[in-house]
Amino acid sequence: MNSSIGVGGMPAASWVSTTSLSASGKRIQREMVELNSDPPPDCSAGPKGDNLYSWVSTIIGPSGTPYEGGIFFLDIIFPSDYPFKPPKVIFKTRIYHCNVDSAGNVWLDILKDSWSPALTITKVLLAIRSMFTNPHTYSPIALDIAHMYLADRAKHDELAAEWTLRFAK
Amino acid sequence: MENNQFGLFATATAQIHDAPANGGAIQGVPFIEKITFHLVRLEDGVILDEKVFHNDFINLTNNMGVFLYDDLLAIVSLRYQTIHILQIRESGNLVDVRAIGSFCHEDDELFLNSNSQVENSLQQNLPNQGNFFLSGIKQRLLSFIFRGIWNEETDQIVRIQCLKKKFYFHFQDYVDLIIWKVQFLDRHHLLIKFGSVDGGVSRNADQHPAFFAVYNMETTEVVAYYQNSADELYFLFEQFCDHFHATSRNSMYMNFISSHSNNIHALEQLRSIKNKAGSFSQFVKKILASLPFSCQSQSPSPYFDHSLFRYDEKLISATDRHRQSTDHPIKFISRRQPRTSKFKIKPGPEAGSMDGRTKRISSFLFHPFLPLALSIQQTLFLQPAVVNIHFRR
Amino acid sequence: MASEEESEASPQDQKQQNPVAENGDGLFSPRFKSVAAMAGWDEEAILVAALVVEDTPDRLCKNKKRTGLQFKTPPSNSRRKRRAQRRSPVSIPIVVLDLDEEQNAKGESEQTKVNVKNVENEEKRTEEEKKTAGDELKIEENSGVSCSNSVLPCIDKLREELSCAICLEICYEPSTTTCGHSFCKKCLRSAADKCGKRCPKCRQLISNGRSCTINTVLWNTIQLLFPQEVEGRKAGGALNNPEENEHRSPARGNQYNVRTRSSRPSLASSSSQTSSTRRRGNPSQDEDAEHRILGRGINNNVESRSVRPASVLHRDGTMRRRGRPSQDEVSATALRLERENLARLLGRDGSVRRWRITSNEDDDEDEDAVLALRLQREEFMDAFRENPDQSNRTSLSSARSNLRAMASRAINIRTRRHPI
Repeated sequence: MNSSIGVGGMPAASWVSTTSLSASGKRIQREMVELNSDPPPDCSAGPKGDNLYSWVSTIIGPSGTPYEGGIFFLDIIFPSDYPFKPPKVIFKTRIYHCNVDSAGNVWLDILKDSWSPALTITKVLLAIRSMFTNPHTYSPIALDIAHMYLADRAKHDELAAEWTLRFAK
Repeated sequence: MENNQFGLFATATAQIHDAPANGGAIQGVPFIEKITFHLVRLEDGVILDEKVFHNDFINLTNNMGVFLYDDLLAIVSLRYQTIHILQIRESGNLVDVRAIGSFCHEDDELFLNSNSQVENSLQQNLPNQGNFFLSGIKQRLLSFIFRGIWNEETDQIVRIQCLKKKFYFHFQDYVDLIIWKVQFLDRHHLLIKFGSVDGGVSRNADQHPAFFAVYNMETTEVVAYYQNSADELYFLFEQFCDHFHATSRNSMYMNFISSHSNNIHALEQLRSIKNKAGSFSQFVKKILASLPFSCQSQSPSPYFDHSLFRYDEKLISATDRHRQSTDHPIKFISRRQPRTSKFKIKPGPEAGSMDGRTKRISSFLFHPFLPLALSIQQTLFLQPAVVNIHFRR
Repeated sequence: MASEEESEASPQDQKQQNPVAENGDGLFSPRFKSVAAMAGWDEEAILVAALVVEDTPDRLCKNKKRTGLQFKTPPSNSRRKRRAQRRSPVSIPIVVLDLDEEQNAKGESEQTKVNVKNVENEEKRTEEEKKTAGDELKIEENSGVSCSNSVLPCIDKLREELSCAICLEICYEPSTTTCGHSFCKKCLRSAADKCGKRCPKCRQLISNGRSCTINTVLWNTIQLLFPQEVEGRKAGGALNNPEENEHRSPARGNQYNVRTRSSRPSLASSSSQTSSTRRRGNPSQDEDAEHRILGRGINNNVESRSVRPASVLHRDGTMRRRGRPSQDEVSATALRLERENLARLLGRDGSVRRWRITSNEDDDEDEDAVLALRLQREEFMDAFRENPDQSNRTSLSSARSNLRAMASRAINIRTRRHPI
């Protein structure tokens, strides 16, 4: 990874490694500024303590969805080679959703194979928020929930609302 | 219940320190292999029911970890961070009402299991699945704090800044808080003290940061939340101290506990401490350290009525606490005729201590209304305790 | 690529036209003026950049361009007059409004005439400011607060456009993919290595992430528009460069001693932070500069500093032209001075930058000093980038010198006109 960056005609490879390390930190800092100046609706996020690589985010259940009234906490963990690897996003609040596994991990394509370094946390949060309104039933992790969603939407919503009431208030 | 027919006793095996934190237990809390609560019929000493906790830690000293309010019993499992609410039935049974901790509603777990059977079969071999998520009580607490900050600011950007500084920055600290102590405020509301793990076990918990939350068991909502240095809570405490004493409806005399909210002398005393205190927040912390009250820790004995007697709070007080005993007798001075010593209590055995250096710890137990008191004296080194009965001559 | 540049320039062109048209509003917000001024500079800068890129050693062509640039001064003069004339009707609406109240009409119209005159004066001043501001673009940009406020829509948009989606900073050595998205070369390469050979923006296949080349036009544009950021990253990246420079500098001293000598006063002022030194030293230098320009002097960096006093003069009109001690620095000492200055410069710059980042207060004096320093430093960099032989010096610096000459001349014209 050092070599790949170090090719840039710059002299020593020693400082490259350090700057590449801080490059992710720099980028995260920039994202923080961006997020703070223009936060997506119902979303907010910030680093836990002074660890720039470990964030918490809060998404308020959007109104008009069965998740309304819930407050969902998410852990966001940035890898050291961010933004070249996606951040890990984990629900800390239980949620009934076909794209979230029983351990709270979010299974979104953009957080897995379709990650691009041009994506930012703001975009990720927006994607998760839109996931509340439109579950990605074509690529679910919780098959039964996806099935329920497709087969009996009313029941699904009722259950999701009950989960929200019980676990996300 | 109505006629004091039951007694509740707890027995426990020895503590085991350095216990591995497994199965959802929190790190840093020792465990006791078996803790049993016995419900005994006082009439004949028959054990009617038992509640057993295995490999758990419940602080039994001074009733720290338990609170009895009417027929409701709250037991704080420090190790599993659960408040067990039990009910003592007329029939002499201990019934589990609910457990507040990882879940808030009594049927949450059932609901969860019935709903996610498919998933669970996948995840079953993973231990402590609940650890991925915030516990129910934490979720309530955090969302309460979050909502507070969110609603405080209307401007989106200021709000985010505020959240960042006040909430996210301390998020992990909030998550790491543990339930220390609980008391009933009424049948539905609990006053819960949260603190860091270190403070929960150690005796001098005053230095550790602590937070108070008022939790409604029925609606599973956090109703209020205070820091242990919060002026607001202190003023409530100063003016409405008696409301923090959840008194059982059937013990009339419990309403006569002398406190700074109902007794001018006690209030004066409190104020003088307040004026002497270096910093107000430090003082608030010190005073609020007595919250939540321990169950049955306050003696309603008229001897502790500040308007009748003056006595040294450092040596003896209505609050049941172990103190280092002095060789000097404790004086009770009449308020009516100043400077006349009404009576003294001599704590030590009349013969005097065998050697002056051994520390003796004594505690006093006054009868609610009869003029007699028990003093229990313990030396260190596991010698049998000396119990004296003090009568008025 | 040329088209891209033009597209970049065109909104600026419009901007430049706008003040002419909109000055008619009579509102004359100085902020707006500076926008225009900056926009004007941008255009030229881009032109110059294009020249550099063309990489034509044809001297004649360059000269043509340069003279073209130089001759812009007289037309602008006439334009000023024209505009002033055109502007008198501008004030008419006010007069008309006043006429509604018949009694006061006359007196007030007189007053407004006076106002108009004042306005005209002011405009002249601002016009000059405009020109100097052209040189000051970097300064303005550095001074951040005023700049970002005044050029908010434009510069922020540009900043956004020219940022790398991977590191979220202004592209450094941008490389453009086949699908038309630009990233820092390094970022793009890392992305290709770690995330597969797809464009981070549109996920199109990139032919070969390894062989990415710098988009020179874009890179030059970025360097011109965001010199501060570029410098910052350069400094952050090339830690060993300063040493190299220092080693090389003595050899080069002869060619550039004039430059360093002239940069001396501003250094002094920057270190002592007294505006008096600046005031004392500079007007003479302005003249110097003018002479030099008239004599087609190649030296061009005097203005980098003299520009600043101009704006200072604008601000406190009463303090204008106190004394003019002639500049009597011996060129023999220049070499020594140069070494000193360079060392100081290099040493100082780091701290200056740090200071810049941490403090947001716009203390003018400090800012001035810092900015003057920055300009100088940039020129040093230029000097080292280009080859020692003067003939090869790019038209960039000479074009700049022209601009600065214009600026200083404008100041002189003005100072002559307003002797007190």
